[in-house]
Amino acid sequence: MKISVRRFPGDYTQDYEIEDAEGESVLNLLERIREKDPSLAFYRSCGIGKCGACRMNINGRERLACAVPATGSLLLEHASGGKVVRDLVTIEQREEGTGGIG
Amino acid sequence: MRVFETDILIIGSGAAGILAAIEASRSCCVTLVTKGPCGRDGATITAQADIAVDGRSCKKILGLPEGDSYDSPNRFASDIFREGEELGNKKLIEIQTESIASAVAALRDDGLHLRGLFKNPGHTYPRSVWISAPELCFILRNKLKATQTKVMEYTVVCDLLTSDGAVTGALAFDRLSGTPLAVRARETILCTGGAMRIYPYATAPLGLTGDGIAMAYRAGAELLDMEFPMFLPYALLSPKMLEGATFTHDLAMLTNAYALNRAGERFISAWDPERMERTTRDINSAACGVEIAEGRGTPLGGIWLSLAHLPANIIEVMGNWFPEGLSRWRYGPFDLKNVLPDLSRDALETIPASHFWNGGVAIGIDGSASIPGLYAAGEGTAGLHGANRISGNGIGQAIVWGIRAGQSAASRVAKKSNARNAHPKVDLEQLDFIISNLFAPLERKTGVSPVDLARDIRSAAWKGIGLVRDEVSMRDFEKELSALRETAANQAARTKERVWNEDLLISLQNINMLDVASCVVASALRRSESRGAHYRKDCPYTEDFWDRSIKVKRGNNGFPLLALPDERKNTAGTGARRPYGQKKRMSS
Ligand SMILES: Cc1cc2nc3c(=O)[nH]c(=O)nc-3n(C[C@H](O)[C@H](O)[C@H](O)COP(=O)(O)OP(=O)(O)OC[C@H]3O[C@@H](n4cnc5c(N)ncnc54)[C@H](O)[C@@H]3O)c2cc1C
Repeated sequence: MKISVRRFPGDYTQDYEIEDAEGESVLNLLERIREKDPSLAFYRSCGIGKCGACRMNINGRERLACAVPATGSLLLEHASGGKVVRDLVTIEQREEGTGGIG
Repeated sequence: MRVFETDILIIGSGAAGILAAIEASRSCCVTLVTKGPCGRDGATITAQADIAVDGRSCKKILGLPEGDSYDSPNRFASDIFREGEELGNKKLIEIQTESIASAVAALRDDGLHLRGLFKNPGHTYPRSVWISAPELCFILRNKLKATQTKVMEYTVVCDLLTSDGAVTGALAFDRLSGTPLAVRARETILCTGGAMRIYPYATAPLGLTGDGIAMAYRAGAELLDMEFPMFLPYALLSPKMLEGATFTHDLAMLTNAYALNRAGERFISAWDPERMERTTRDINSAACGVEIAEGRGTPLGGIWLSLAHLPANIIEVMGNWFPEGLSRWRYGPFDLKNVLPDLSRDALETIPASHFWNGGVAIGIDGSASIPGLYAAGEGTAGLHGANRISGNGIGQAIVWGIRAGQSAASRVAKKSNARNAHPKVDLEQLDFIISNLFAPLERKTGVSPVDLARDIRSAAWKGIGLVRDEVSMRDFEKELSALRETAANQAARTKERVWNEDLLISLQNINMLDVASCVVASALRRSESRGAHYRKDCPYTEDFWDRSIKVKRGNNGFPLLALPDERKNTAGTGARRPYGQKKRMSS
């Protein structure tokens, strides 16, 4: 299966080929890709649809990567709205209060 | 390197961390540091979720009409003590049962919906107040935003800073910028949750690798009850997409599901012929563990859970009456009909997955740890549950003790206010040491991959200190641990990027997992009996002598140093015994 990932910094698309991927979650596939390419950045926390932290754009739709079964060919892009840290990792406006001494 | 100064440093943003921050920020400068996105990176948001409150208070304080007036905080306390196999600390238990109702009432006033009251195993009365965990986290985050707390997300604490044996803050690493930062604090509160992820199968989020417990241990604090990691039987093992999902546990508890070994036998009949699969989690986990260890599990090394003896239309409508979390055969964003096999025909592969940490940092009634400058709250602490936690006391513990630790730390700061200008000294040598260890995997050109090492630690822990233990396999595990430690000293990140480097994060977690695992095995070897979540095949009985908790500290040689109360009167192996799973005094 071909998986294309939009990568940052640089904003380019990189293609990966993964075997026996059909039916795996997109998040698990990313994990397998990272075994080969440790520079790939994405975020995983609960992995079962509860925390919402793996939200990304999958073939044009904002979805939770843990809950989408891989099928066909995939284009993965960072979620919209936030600031891109690297690749598929984005952050909302950082929740920094005004307090603290430093 | 950035340096911050604050009155109170709080590490972690589950219910415990956020509530501690809300309390402490009433009078102090507070900085909260958390590994991922605030309020979404811990166990709290993943809970199913119930909070345990005694029936009388449910009725009187929470206005839930189903609350039973015959129940009381005292009755609730005696259930916690009994189900924890008499290891819980009675003072902590009393504070829990006396304080939880008003804390939940305050959250209700902030908008938390109380969705009903249920009776769960181990509780004599209905006490499980159902809530939505995402709603709880949403409310907590908003309350936190309204305070002056400085929140630093995606910031991983590497180690506590100490000076003359007292904690003076922490050294953290900002994943987004790739830079270290030192926080100097008058008081530090660890709210870092459990170490569920030292095992390969877990229901809890990936970041819960026992960092706080390991840091406290390295700083010299006492830990307690480390031999009692708790497993949740019948968590889903396959399909991989839903590994660790917990609705199958609920199916096992609430329907007439069968747990089967590879021969299709209901092995649980040998353990609890009356309650069968509806027995307690600890007995279920030990029973499944023995089947798996002795080669009678599923192809993936789990246990079959089957509904196939039931008519298809009964199964079909289960999705309609089943509690939230599995409505109409949907589980959150998952459509189970597409992901699971036909349950009227096939069984599911499940496994007892690492679910909760009963042990952790030993605390006093004010939430203080055994070394100055340090408090701890929530799941990473020990003493409330003893050998086994009953349902609803995970979130409950985080709420009560988060608030308490926040208040205690703030009043300590106020008491020391005449020394306000003298911020604790920071030991620069120690700082250098921590930072060079942190970045060493980036410097090394060759070495073991942190990802491979993490996998090795987890599979060794599963075998050595998993569901079923015995002296021989634990001794083997100890040897393996020292080899793994040597390997860990030689980890090399495969990418040298500083921003969002997963290998770097994992390399740091590996060290924490090793420290935690060494405390678990030392305590589990010492406890020559079986009790609650600790099941030993070579001593499958519970012994009166062991009605006491084992303390662990880091010894001068770097190895865990154990202590028992009344150590000199050690009569282990000679006193009264009962079969594993049998309570000393029968419950009412
Ligand atoms: C699937 C599941 C279901 C559950 N259901 C229930 C239930 O129904 N009822 C119940 O009472 N309990 C339940 N529990 C248990 C309960 O959720 C937890 O015990 C409780 O939420 C723990 O809260 P906490 O604040 O102590 O820790 P957590 O919520 O786990 O928070 C820990 C925090 O520490 C942070 N952290 C960790 N290490 C570091 C570090 N090095 N640097 C910075 N930050 C760090 C984490 O990112 C996180 O923010 C469940 C647990 C799970 C996993």
